[in-house]
Amino acid sequence: MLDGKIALVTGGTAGLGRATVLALAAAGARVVFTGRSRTGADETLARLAAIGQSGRFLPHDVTREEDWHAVRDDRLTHEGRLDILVNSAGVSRLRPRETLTLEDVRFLVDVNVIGMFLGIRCAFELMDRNADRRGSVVNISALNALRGSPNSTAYSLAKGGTSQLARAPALEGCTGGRRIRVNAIHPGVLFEEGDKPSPGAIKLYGLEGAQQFVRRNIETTPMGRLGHPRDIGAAVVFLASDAAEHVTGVELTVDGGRMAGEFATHHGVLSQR
Amino acid sequence: MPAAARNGKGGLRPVFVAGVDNAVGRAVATRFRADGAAVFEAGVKAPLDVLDPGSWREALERCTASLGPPGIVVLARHRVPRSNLDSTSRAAFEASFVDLGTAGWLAQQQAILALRAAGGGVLVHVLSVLARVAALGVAALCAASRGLLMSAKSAALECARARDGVVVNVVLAGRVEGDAEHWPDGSLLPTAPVVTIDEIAAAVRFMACEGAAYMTGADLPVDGGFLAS
Repeated sequence: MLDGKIALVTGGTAGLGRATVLALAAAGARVVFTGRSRTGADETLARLAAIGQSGRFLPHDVTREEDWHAVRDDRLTHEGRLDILVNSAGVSRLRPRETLTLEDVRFLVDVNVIGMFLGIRCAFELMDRNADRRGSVVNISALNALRGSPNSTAYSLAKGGTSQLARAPALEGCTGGRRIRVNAIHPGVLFEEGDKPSPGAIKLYGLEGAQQFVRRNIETTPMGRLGHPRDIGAAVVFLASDAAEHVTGVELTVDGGRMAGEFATHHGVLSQR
Repeated sequence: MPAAARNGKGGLRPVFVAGVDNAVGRAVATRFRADGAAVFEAGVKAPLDVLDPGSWREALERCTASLGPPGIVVLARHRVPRSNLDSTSRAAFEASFVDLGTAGWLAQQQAILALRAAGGGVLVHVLSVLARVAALGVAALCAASRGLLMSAKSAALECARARDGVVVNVVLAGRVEGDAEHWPDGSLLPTAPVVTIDEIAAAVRFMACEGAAYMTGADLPVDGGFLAS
């Protein structure tokens, strides 16, 4: 589906980004992925090898403009073009509003919004140099772009911004002879290891609270299970491919039905805090 | 796709397509055939009374009898009734709304029952972007489209609650090229980008693919960025 395409994935050293790298490679793309963790990069490379694929890693902090310049120059040096960018790098800090610091807010906005903006700008610059001026950008966002949740005011601020970073650039991507598509995916609650609470959730809620958090999320997900990063891969591949030739500026939910409507009304562990 | 949409040999289970009287429905049927699926075209060999649940049921049963139980149902039937505020009577508005909305709801209901009986599967309803944005002179279409979008989402929740293995998703078609049944003339949102029928069929195909198994109650516009603006 993506034979001959050249893809760049940020945040490809863990979780959803890693799953995206694997999905794009399996669909035939040549993938370069970036991130801050060398250990995580090695794991991604090992998983690529396990499915008979290869990839290349670039150390990269998405909030640093000079890092994006290095990525741009590397792309031009090694591949000469870019067809697909997946902005997958993202962070969350779920904290009650009264304990959020300005540093927290700046960090969330820096990585989730500014990093995504810099990525789109870099991709447009590179895709503009493609002979056909075509390309596809896929932004990985979150359901907090569509609705709020407790302990997530700053996170929701950042993810709300990512919604418009699908729409406004999509319109620019259709101007001046360009054909650069920009879309967003809103994943549901993702867990890599079934129903095992993440370290972040344990830190926030304590072990028992985190386990309750997981149970509540399963109960409030219509399909009855949490998502896995691999659930997102097919949507990324579709939006990146020529099959989605006329799909731009859209926000696609891959969430087990959570955004279809209210499924259960209780968030016990969250509302108590 | 949900496992129920594949047969025991890994191929696609039969695909039931309603709306092959329009170009989008035909393109969807062609797209699935190209991937090796057996496709049942509703309303071709026997007339379909879209306001009769029994007629939908019989069509689905004919699919089962001739090809096997459907694993994928695509509802692509569409009309663009004109309903100007000044000149449309209550009866005319109601007739248009019922022809689209009520008929679409009946189709969703019977399709889901058939998919449940078959052990699960995928329902994709092709609607219009006019479910999200209004246009002049097509109030009944806008109202019916929005209604069907929400009824599809509600159905997705019901199916998930029932753990019946059925997922329900929507493709919102933009200004369709070469299909008077979808977008009759340039007076309807003339600035909207033109979408090809194959592009809509590709989105339907994606909604029915294995990797989309965690999607239900979702809607995917295929509109060239129209809603984004």
